[in-house]
Amino acid sequence: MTTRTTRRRVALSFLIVVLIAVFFVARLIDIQVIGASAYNEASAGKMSIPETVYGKRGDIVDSAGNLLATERTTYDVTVSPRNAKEFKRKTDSGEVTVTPQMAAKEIAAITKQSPDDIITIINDALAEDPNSDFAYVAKGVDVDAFTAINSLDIPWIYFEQNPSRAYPNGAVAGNLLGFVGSDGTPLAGLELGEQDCVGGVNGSQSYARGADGVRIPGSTAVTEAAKNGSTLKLTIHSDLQWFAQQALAATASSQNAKWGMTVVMEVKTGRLVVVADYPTFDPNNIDAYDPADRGSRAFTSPYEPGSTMKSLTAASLVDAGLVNPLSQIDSPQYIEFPNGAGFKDWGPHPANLTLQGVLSWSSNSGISQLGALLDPEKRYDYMTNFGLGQTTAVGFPGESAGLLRSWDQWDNQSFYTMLFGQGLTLTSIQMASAYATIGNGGLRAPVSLVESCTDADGKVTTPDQPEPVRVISAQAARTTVNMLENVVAHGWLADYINVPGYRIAAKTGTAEQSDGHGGYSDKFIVSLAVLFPADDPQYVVLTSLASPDSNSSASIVSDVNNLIKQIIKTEGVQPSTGKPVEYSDYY
Amino acid sequence: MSMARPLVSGRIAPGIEIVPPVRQLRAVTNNIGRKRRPKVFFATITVMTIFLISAAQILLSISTQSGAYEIAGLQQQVKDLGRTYQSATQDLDRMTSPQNIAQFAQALGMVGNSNPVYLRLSDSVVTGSASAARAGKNSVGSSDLVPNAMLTDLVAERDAAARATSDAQARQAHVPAPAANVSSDRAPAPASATVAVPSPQGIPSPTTH
Repeated sequence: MTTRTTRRRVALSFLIVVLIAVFFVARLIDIQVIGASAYNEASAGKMSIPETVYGKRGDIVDSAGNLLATERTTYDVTVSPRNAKEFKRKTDSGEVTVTPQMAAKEIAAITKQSPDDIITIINDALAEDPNSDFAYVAKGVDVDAFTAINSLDIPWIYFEQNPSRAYPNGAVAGNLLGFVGSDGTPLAGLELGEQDCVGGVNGSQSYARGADGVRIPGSTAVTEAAKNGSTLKLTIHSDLQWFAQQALAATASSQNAKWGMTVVMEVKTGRLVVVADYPTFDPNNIDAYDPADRGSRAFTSPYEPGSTMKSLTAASLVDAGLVNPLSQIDSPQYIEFPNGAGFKDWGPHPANLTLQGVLSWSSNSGISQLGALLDPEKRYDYMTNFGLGQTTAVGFPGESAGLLRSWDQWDNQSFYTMLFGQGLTLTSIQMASAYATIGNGGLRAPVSLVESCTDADGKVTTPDQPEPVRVISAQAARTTVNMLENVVAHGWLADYINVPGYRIAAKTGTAEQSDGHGGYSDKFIVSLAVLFPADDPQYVVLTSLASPDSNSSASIVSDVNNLIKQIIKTEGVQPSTGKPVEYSDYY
Repeated sequence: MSMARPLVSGRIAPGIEIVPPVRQLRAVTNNIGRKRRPKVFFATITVMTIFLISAAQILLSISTQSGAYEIAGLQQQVKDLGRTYQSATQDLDRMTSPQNIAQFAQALGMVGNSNPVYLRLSDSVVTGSASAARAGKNSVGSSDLVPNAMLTDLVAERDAAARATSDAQARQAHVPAPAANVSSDRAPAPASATVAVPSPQGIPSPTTH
């Protein structure tokens, strides 16, 4: 009996011990294995402080490496309204009491607010919630203001720091650069279009902090590494860009023009040296500008080019072997074609014109008769090869392809008017590229605005560019440049487009523009396209101005001449050699 | 010892009482002496070790702690220096902007000459006609045509500096000796001061060849 009782007791005890052990093991597995991640998370939330590691946005620089856009830290000044009471400050002359009014005055002097505004911010926050612990005093102050406010040692003022974008050159190339939102999201221009290059990727990390607020060494754990953006190098020359913008803005504002643009392109490479827009846009101060003026019209706003188009028509005709500079055409003041199309020339001129004379006098009747010699399908192919009707290789955000209808959709009037630049639209960049093609011996180089993208490790990537396109023969291109040089020499341009030692080829354009109601308005878009030096063209300059008071391209010629001189000085363009080829205007 | 005697005497036969106590005393004394020495030794070692470990731990903790403060201090210093660097580069970047340089150059009376003239070394031919640059003719125009919001502060600072300089000059010119009734801390009205930096409009045309 006694033995059995003892055995039972032992067995029971053993069972109880085993049960307890099983319970503990089960609980241990529950905590350590099943619920491990949840507990880890909860503990991390209680012990560690997470923080965002900002991936710095890359710089944007010009072709010489001058900074156009960079990342800066700005600070938001915040206040704890419920603690905004007077405090003691130690000064050299002993301890002084500083009232909230005095502190507000000190802050206001730095943030350029009124002291009353700051007091109002505090009072409003307290009126809404007497326990309010947070309100913004000023947003986006720079590091100098931050240092100044921080050194005031006001116990109820705190700071939040934010990465923000700064454009040290202001409106220089501002229309191209675009801008980013206050949260760092790219919103327009190259900031948006080249996000893959300049955009940084934010990372995160956490660390543990002691009771005294000091970070515990070695406790930093990187959850996700931040990635800094790369440096975007443009083909733009910022000094020339400024010069062109300044001259364009001066003329455009004195002529009350609606908008304008100046494009300078390297003939042989298709690199854009200047893309100046008017109105200019300073991305440091986005809100001060009309949304329509914040982009680059040179890329996004196509227009009917007018007579600058005649050079392309003439080049196509010469290349097709249908005409030469001395081909004769009876060019009346007013012409009506059998299909019903009709139009007139701008001013009186002799009717016995050669192709050279047609260009010199900018005769619509002359160029339309000659242009009609070319098969419409071929004409369309030439225009497409010149780059019309398609976006350029730049791929600028919002870039327009212009409007070039397929040859079988041309109506009777535009069949002829397209030959002198009405009834089709194109952007300044497309037109500059077409002139560069003529200057480059008939080879159209892809347009480029971005030179390279360099990452933090120094790895340089250049954008993929399509192959150059052969548009016209080198001989046809040379002949066209010669004719454009005669255009300058034979007309009123000679007095304005004139740089001693340099031969210059150019064509003006005065285009009718849509009034927005299906007709043409009485205001024109005036343009001037220049190739220089004419013996071996290096640069294209194209300036257009919409609705100037004078309604004439004479309003822009002296600006263009000054810009040519500036380019010659800045880029060290060699003077011309050889003599121009003379073609007569008349037969 | 006092416990040992009755135990021993109780177990040993009464006839042989004398010898065992003597032997016992010696043995016990020796035994106890021998056993005690190591105990004190080990105890001392143990206590010392514990003490040393605690001391080392405290020292280590203190040094870690102060290291943490040092790191925090240095990190703060890095932050402060970063801010100073940012402030300086910010000023440098905006000062190198074309707008600022053009304004400065104009204020100094510099005039752009846009007539390039070249001398060809091979045949000594001069291309272009050399003409003097004239103020106004090739003027870059008003500075607000290509605005730069980052220059606003800089311009204000420069104006303030120019005013301060001209004030100082004005004070020196008009008040040769410090008079007792002139309070030196009151600046003369800016309107009456002559501006130290010449304005682009008012400069005499320099003749350059």
